[in-house]
Amino acid sequence: MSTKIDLQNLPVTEEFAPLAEGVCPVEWALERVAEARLISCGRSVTCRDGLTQVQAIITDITTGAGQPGDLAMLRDVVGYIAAMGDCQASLTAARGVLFSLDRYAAEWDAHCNRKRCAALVCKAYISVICLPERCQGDTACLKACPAGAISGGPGLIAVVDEARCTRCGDCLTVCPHGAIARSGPMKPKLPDAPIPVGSFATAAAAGVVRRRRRAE
Amino acid sequence: MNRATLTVDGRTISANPGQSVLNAALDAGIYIPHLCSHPDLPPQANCKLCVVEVAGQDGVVCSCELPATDGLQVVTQSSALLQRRKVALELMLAGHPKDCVSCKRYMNCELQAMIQYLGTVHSRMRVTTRKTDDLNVDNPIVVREMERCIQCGRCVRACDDLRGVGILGFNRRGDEVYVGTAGDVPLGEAGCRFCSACVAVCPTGALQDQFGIFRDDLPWEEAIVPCSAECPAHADIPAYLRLIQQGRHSEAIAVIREKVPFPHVLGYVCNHRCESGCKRTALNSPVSIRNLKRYAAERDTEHVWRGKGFHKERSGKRVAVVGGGPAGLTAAFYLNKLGHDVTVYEKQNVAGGYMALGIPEFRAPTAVVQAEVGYIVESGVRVRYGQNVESAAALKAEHEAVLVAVGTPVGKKLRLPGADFRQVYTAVDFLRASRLGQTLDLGQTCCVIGGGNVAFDVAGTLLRMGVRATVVCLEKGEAMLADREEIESACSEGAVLFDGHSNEGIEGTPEQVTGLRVHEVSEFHFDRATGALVETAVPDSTRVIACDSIVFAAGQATGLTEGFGLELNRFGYPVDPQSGKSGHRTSLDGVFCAGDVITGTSFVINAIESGRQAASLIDRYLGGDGQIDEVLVERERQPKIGKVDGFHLQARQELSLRPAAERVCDFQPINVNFNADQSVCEASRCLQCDLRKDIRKSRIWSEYAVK
Ligand code: SF4
Ligand code: SF4
Ligand code: SF4
Ligand code: SF4
Repeated sequence: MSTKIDLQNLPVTEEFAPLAEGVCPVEWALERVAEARLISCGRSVTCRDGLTQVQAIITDITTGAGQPGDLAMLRDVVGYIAAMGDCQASLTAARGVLFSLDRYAAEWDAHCNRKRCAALVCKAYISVICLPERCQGDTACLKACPAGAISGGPGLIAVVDEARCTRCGDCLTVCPHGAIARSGPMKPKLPDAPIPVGSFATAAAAGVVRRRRRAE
Repeated sequence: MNRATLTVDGRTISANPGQSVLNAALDAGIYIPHLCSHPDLPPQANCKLCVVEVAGQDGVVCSCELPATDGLQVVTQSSALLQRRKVALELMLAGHPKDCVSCKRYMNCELQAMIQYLGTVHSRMRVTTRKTDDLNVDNPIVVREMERCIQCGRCVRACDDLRGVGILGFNRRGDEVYVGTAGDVPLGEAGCRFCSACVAVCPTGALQDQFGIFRDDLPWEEAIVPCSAECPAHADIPAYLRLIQQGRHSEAIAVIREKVPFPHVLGYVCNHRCESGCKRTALNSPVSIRNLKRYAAERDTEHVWRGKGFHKERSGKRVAVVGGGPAGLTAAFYLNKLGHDVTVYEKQNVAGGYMALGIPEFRAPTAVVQAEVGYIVESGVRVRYGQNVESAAALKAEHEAVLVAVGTPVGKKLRLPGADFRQVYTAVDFLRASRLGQTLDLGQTCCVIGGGNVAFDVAGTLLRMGVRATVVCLEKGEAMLADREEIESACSEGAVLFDGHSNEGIEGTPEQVTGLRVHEVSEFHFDRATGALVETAVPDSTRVIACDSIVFAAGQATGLTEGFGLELNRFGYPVDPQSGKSGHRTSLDGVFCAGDVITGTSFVINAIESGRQAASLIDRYLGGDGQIDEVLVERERQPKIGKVDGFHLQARQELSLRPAAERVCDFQPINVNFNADQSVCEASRCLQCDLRKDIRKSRIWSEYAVK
């Protein structure tokens, strides 16, 4: 007979170390599930259908497709897997999701209800921007962008077209000046189109004007 | 070990040693939901629906894996359990198609029944899809709609535990786990035996029988063994094929003898309807059932069937059987076993009817026919030869019952000018004379009129007598009624074929036929109302085929007349006044019919089955129970058939025809029987469709007393 885990006595929080700074607990949970699906037994309803369902729900939560009631349903399903699962991989994944849900409830709520990812990891909730003060018009980012979403030129401040950007992050690492960055919904003021390097500074006196944009 | 006593929802039940709580409860009529468990398979706890609570233990356990021990107190219904079950089912349904109505298992599906039982709807969970659903769906016998698979694993266990084939398993591709063969090769390549055990246990529409492979007008139990279902006598074909494969020929014949007393003759002449139903046809070609029967009969030296079966006490009732052909002798055989005093009245001086006198020696050797007739006589049936029974009514006066099984012993001639000339014969008379060694005036060349098997039997016989044979028939090419092999065989022996020709008249004088005048037809049919031939002649195609004699193979009649004492229809067949049609009963109480005299000229196996039914009917008429079923060999089904590489490719073994030039010089059988290796190869091609009968059907919730 396989050992069954009693949900009440599950040492959920002790098993996982607190997540490091910059790690999104929702994305982290999704990774635990994806990882488990590659190695779990995949035979029983908990393992095959359960993990598949959990992955589908969390994926939606991280991509802006979450629906009301998702968190409750997710708890039902992971709770079910944690209680009934029969392979180590699915049990660990389910406990990981529960740990994340319990310990980082506010983050899950932000993802679901406010479409925000505090760690700036979940692509649906971030923008990639070029900080106009830092940009030197090197064009390294233009060349790196596989989607052709960045416009600019030698000596011009690069501008990322949010609609075309896939948030792949390729441009982030190539800028020698650290001008490309992730941003949440509160973005600094940015030029609409490429302008000569230095010309944006005239707005410095007024400071950075923050626009609050509530994503619905 | 003693039976354990436990309580399930407060009811005290007892369990066999080692039984699971699930099975103990189900046996006691208490339903616990389950999908992956199956009465014939080891448990696997995949579906998690059979969860229960146990007094004194936290949490829930799958009852399929919980041993039913003494004193256990089990709860199967609680809101917590219902919740667990609902989540499990919802998860399964998330990845399941929503098109129940278009699924072939609709209304016959355990998953659907579970949805109903738990009152679950699809909508709450995310719809999930799999990329692996259409892998390995290509084979002609098991339809695999894997998008309907709930991965209960029953098929995997059936293939492995029940059959020892073990080609199904849980495969992984990336993050998906699914049921398939190693390497996802088609079932055939994997060594599948196509036993369809996997289909039998699948609770959903994921595995189905190929559409149209079984008849849907028969009870399921019968339809799944299609060869036996097609056989008019319903012989247990897979059982005897297994015995032949094991070299147990006498036992194989005993299995056949449970249904027919002429296995050897049938091995030569049967029209093998069983083969047209054989499931193996879907893979490549049917098992050569008829030839294997002949093979086994030739090697049945032990006669293990002798003395077996029922032998009822003598009833003192007398039964007369008119006609010693396959129908009459079969009925006589069973009626004698049923305790009645049976006398067969045979017109000729040999018994066997059509088998002895209606087909040529090279199709059914006299020795074979007479041996099997002999066993019936030995069993206690009295045969009186040379008896022309003129009145059934008169015979009935001396017997408690009479069976008329005269067949259709009178050949018909077409109404052609010259049909009464001296050298014009019917096929019945010609074949009978040839079997009895009587000589007819045939000359050098003979025209046979007719396009059925009988015409070609006549042609083959003529050629062996040294007479040139020409067959003339209305039908052309493919439309001809005779079997292809019969036509080809006769033609390769030298018969000349005039197909698509109509007869105008016989040339010559009443004393000497000189030819047959024919013309070609481009189209013909028979008028519905009058039965008259309506044809379109090809202009200027009239010609005379020179010949010295004519044989009509143009149908046969019963030869019965009013004087026989039975009400006849306008074709001379006795009618049952109650139904107004031909049947086992006649206008005279206590006088019955069997065989061709009911059906018109048909096949030996149909006559035999008709004889069996008549025997049963007459026994009931005489106060018996009509029971003629018997078991002459205990069945041993070995369900663990194991994997066989290339099983799906094993080709049908064919008998080798002797060269035409050689066989036309004698009356020996035209083909050479299998050798030992061939017989084993051929018998082992059988898919053993009957094994599936031993797999129990999983019962759904509504079939339990407590649900
Ligand atoms: S397998 Fe059953 S539940 Fe699934 S579609 Fe077919 S009938 Fe419906
Ligand atoms: S051997 Fe039988 S049970 Fe196994 S896959 Fe083939 S048909 Fe199914
Ligand atoms: S194919 Fe049928 S028997 Fe096999 S695992 Fe799927 S649902 Fe179960
Ligand atoms: S495979 Fe065997 S059991 Fe099945 S129909 Fe053919 S002969 Fe009969």
